[in-house]
Amino acid sequence: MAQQITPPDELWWLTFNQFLIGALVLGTFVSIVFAYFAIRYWEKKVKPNEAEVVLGPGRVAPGTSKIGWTRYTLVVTGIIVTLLILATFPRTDYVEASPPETDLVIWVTAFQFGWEFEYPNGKKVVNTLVLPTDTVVEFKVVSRDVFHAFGIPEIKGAKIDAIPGILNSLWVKTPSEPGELNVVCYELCGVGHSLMVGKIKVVPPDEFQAFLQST
Amino acid sequence: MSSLRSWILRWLTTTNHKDIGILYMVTAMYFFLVAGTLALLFRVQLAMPESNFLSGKAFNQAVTVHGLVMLLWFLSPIQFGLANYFVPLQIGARDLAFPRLNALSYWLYLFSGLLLIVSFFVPGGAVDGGWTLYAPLNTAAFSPSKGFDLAVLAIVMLSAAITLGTVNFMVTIAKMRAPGMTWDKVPMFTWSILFTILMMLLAFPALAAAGLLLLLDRLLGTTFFLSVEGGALLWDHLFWFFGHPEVYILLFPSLGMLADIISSFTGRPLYAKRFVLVAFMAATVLSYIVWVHHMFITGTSLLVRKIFSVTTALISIPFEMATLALILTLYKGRIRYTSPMLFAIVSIPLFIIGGATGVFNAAIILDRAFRGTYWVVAHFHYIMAGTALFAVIAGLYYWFPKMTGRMISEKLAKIQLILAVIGINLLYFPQFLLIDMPRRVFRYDYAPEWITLNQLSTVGAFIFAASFVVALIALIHGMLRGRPSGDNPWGAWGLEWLTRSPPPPHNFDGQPVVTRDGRILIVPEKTLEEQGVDKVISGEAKVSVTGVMTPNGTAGHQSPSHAHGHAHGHHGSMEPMMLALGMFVAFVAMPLGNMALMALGALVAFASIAKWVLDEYRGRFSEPEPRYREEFPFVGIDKFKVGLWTFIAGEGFLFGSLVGAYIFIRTRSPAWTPGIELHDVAIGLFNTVVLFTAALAMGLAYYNARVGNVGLQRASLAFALALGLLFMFTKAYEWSKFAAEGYGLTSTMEAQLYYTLTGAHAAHVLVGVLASLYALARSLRRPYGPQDARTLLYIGIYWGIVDIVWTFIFPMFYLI
Repeated sequence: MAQQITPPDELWWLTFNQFLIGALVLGTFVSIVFAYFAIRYWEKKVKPNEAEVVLGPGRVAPGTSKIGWTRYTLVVTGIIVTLLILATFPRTDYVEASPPETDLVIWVTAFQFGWEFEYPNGKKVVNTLVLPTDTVVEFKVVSRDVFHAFGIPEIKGAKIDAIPGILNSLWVKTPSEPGELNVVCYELCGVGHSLMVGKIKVVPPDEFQAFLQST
Repeated sequence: MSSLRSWILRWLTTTNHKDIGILYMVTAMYFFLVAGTLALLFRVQLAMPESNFLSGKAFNQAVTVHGLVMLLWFLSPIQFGLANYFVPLQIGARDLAFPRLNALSYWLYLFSGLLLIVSFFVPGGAVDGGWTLYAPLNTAAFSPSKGFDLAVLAIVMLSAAITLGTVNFMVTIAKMRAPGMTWDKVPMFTWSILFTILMMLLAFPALAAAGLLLLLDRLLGTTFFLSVEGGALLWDHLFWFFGHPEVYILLFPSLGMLADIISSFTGRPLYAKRFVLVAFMAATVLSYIVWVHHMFITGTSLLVRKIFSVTTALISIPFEMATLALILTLYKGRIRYTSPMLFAIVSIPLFIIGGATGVFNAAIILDRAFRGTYWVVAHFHYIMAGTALFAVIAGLYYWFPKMTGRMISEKLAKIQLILAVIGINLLYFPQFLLIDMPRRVFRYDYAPEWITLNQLSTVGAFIFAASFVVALIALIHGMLRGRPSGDNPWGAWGLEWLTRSPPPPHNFDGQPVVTRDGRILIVPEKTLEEQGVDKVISGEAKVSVTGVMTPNGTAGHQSPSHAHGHAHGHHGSMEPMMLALGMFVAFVAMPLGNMALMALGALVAFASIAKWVLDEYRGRFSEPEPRYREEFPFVGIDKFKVGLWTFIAGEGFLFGSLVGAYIFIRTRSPAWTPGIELHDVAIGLFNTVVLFTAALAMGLAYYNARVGNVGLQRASLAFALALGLLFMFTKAYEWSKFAAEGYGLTSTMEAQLYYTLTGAHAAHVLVGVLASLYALARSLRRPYGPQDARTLLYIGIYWGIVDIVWTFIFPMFYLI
């Protein structure tokens, strides 16, 4: 059932926090080394025997230097970063694939300047979508005119490009509490781009069923 | 009055690399003021969620022009202004390899920028599609504004300027280094410019190709970016194939400056320089295979995206290495915190923030949230307006004494630095927290939680802007009132500090030589003749040296009489400016449909080219190559050949991009009529033979020039010319026949591609025809002999390349 399915935005936050910790640890370490050197070797602090000034007027920097193996430590941070990226791939597969089970498919057509939503029963609404709580929803997103991007700012990672001639899909799990979400265009699509804001009303399932049957 | 006239005339006609460097910098600063003002306008708009300060259209125009100008008309040009001035000085050359071409690059750059500025005042107003100009919003169907056309023309014109510039710098750095300046000893700034032009050479043709296809769409009604087969994704691929190397194009010169400046003020060579150079080389190559990370949510196959996600992670490695190397350069140094050093140092933490957040973007799963939001804006502004710009300021202040002979006020520079550091962080850090706010919206009334962050950002923008007001005051104050600097006020290393401030037109009072152990000697040419250059480099020769540092840190000079021992071809020339001006007039008139003005502009442009060719014909601007130089691995290959091959590499990528567009469209077309059913293979084959024979005839002309057979030389040239013309006539016949069958330019996708690619090829054939015409005229008046036969060889090589392009086009359109 939908309750057991991990929502994509949860995985987004998990990944983001891992990256944030990695960036903070590495960034802080590098910054401390940097600040230490920048102060330690300031001409007003450094003792004459500590500084080895080898480059000055009338010279060019030599191409070779006797550094040895320590230079290979330069790639360490790069390797960490690459591993960090590779580690995200299983989660990427999960959120990029179709949802484990789909409760509801909504067709979204972006146009200058608004959103048309179509329910499985053929019911169409413009700019205001009603969805049930705690439901896995798959959006099938197309565009009628130019390049738009369909996104829900309140749900992290809920974003996909709406491109003429291309069918893209995206799935989310709606919140368990009723409420209101925004639908925003994330690609400059013309003079009305800023006004291309739709709403998603998240309502209890019975209320949703009533809405779906109404004309 | 006449002195004012000659002053103006000097700047209009100069071909000296230092003058042109100054022109670049001043022009770039003007564009910076324009783009910066636009940024302030939209920051004011965004301070309130429902402000009416700007209309939606004005807002879109402001963000679009801001982006385009900052990247293409400010940041790169100001870096290349410094490169124009200091690359020849750093490597001990007297000028760039092709001074007049350099002037042309500048004037094309200036007028292309003006084209963009003018676009505000034409019907429909300036371009408003975002700096990435996404399709199909960029087509006339959705954006009919004439200003949009002008912007695309400006981009194509700028691409031409940049391609010429790459040729110039390539040849200069490859072939004009002072004796002893081996690749190992080349300073990092010059190295970074070399890597930058390698990226420019291959990236800008893709932009030019995208621009040309877009112009055809907008002006002649083709549908490359409107159709489903091409459309949004074709633009995305072409644009980002340019766009991602462009990011490093903007960053590399700054990293190079940082390395040289930090070396100067610590007294330490860059840590692990060779290792960093290998890293730069890797980044240059990798920069071509990361572009899809801009398209993570376009629906591209997951496997492709994963590959590009990994390449993106990999390309972070060279930049992390560069950052760490810069930091480790401080180790065991004696750091002097002068104003250039302070700006250089501050740019490092900004790079750490911008770089670290970039890693987040490389993860496909995370990018889904970042895409199109202020997080991305914050990320790249930390790198562009942070690292890259701070390094440029450091570079400007570092070299200011060399350019003017005066010092910048340290007090003003420090006030500027404090304002800039507070301003940039207040401006962009809140934008990381605006992680859900879409870019390029002028209203956000549905999200009240974004208001405070936007207001902080706006306040930051004004503080940041204030820092540049101080910078302007500092620059003007330094120029007028700054205290005299002497030749080497910083006690800096490198060749540029071993000449006067400002340097004389010929740069050095003697021939700079770098000894094997890294000392720089400015040696009279006579000494080199007597002692031999190898002995001077090895340090065995007894040299009565100049350019040794006196105790107070100024270079000793030899008497100026030696200054003109080396004939320096320092000529003024009006043609580069007139050519660019003519193009400007024609391009402004083109979208407006003003035929008379277009003809006038074209006339001026062609007259300038004719005058240019006439000068070549008379040998007026022949610039002798330096006698003593380091030119590995191009020993014995003359500069025109190196230049030609560099240019051809760019041309290759232009056609490569067009062929890429063909493949892209064709693979996405549900039905496709094979060329063999549309075109007459016999005519195609005939033209193939004609084209190949033309190249052969040029080869024969070259051979006969070498062996001194004037009659056959002229006959071969006439034959080549006739074949070129025959090709053009056959092509014209073929086109008219195809059009008569109902296949006009705008009919089918097959026809659109056919006309576009064969048209681009025919334009190159036309250039070949004109070159052959020139060679024939020259041969009739003054036959080519063994000493100048190479001109014919180069025209022959060009014909050969035109043939190679045809060998791709022929099967694409006639067979399959």
